[in-house]
Amino acid sequence: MKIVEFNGISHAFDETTTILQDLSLSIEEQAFHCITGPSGSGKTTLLNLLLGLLRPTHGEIFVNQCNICSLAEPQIAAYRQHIGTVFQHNNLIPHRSVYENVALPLWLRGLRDKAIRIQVQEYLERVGMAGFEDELPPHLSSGDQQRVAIARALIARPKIMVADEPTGNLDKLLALSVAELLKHQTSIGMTVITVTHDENVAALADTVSRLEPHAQESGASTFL
Amino acid sequence: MSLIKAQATPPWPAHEPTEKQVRLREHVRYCKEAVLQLITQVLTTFFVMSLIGVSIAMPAGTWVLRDYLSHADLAWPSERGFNVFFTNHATDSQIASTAQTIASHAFVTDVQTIPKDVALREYLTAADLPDIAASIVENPLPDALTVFVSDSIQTTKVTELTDFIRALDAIDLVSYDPEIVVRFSAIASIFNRILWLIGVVFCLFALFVTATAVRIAIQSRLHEIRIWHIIGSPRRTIRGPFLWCGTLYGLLGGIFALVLLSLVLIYVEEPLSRLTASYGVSRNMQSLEWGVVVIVIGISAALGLTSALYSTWRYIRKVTLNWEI
Repeated sequence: MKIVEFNGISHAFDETTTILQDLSLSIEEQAFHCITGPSGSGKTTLLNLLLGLLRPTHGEIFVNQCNICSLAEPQIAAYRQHIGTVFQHNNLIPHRSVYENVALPLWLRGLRDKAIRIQVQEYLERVGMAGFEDELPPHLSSGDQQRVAIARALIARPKIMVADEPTGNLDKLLALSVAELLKHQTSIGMTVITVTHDENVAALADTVSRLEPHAQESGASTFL
Repeated sequence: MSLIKAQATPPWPAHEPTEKQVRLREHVRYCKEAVLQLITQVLTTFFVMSLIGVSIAMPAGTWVLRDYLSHADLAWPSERGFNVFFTNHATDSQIASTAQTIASHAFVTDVQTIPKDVALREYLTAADLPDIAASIVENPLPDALTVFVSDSIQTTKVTELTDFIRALDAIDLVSYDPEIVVRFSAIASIFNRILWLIGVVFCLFALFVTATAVRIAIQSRLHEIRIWHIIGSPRRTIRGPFLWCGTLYGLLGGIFALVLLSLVLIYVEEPLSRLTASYGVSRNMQSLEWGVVVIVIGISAALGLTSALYSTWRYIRKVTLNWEI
């Protein structure tokens, strides 16, 4: 079953800057899907569209058979609660401890502190970060910060995990371990969509789409 | 590709809790976060609290003083009372029956008799001439009445009443000057309006200060707001801590205003007591009444909340609408 469908998507920031043009893509449920492409080809814009942070100029985006482009802001917020997100940088709130960062999605659900503590502990163990609960993110390495961000994304038990260059600033070994962690989520029912330049990450993917700017057009990209 | 018709509901239902208990827990968390924010920016908090406090204390202080004076019955003259003087030959029975006649009038709320001996004694004491009393052979002062009328009576009706009293036996003089009363009434009205204007201007100032402080708090936490936004927080949840922040600024400002007010009252207590004592009234000025405390705290907290509502509506909306990773 297709969980995400981009249908004839175009996006322009203004009249002269078209980023994506007539782009269509389907992603199967429980797949590990990679989107690759050169810098500036609109990969991050595509993820922002999927997260409902941007609205396409043309076209529709269906998630679980619902057109998210037709949703109002409160419904978009509700939808995002089911999407886990990990970025290359600035994933975490620097003045909040690791524990608090991971607990954010559970605070939203109004869980009691005891229940939150148990779950945070469990997910930090899952990503190999148990014992770092009281640390502040700036005191952690980039790899550890990514693991905490993944724990925060996973703790919400999302249907879809969206990752933008999750291994961008990690060394090869760490990058592979993070990619494998993401890949593992598909085996427990999650769909993972990641933007990456890393060939090793792409090699783990079930499906890969490459976004390329059209040579003849004004920089707008579509899938090859 | 088969596409299902667009829906207005999200692909999956929100995780949002609806139970009252959970909402309460949320507010406890917002409040904790707001307190933390205030503590971590202690200097800003003190500055904002002082500004709000001074802004609230100015109109509140004027109001308290006005309230005190009006309670002490020495406020600006009004239509409420006037004096009636008898001729020197008036007998005690004439004075008593005249007082009774006046007291039975519909507009009159009270009549107090001031015998001429008492009047002389009070005059000599006030003029610091007690030794002369023994040398006065005959009391030159007349017996008098103080007549109190209802507040709601118009000046023209009081004039009618004074004309009626003048026509009674043994009356020498009715001391009532409607022009002075009208003038004082107008002055009192101007004073009241200025009081309201001061209140509005200073409350607007307090609103501005709190709104700016909350806006700064929002801008210092933009990154956090963006992360809350991306994990699916409804705008209500993002606004919560800032609304509490504004309300706490208001509350602290109110407390600061009460402290200032108490200090001012302690400072002016002695001369004010002397003034009121000269009118035969004594009242404790040093402690504020509970009503004043509740009103000042309530208004300042409401101002804080209003400012925070404005700032969060204006700026958090901007952040969430202009998102970029």
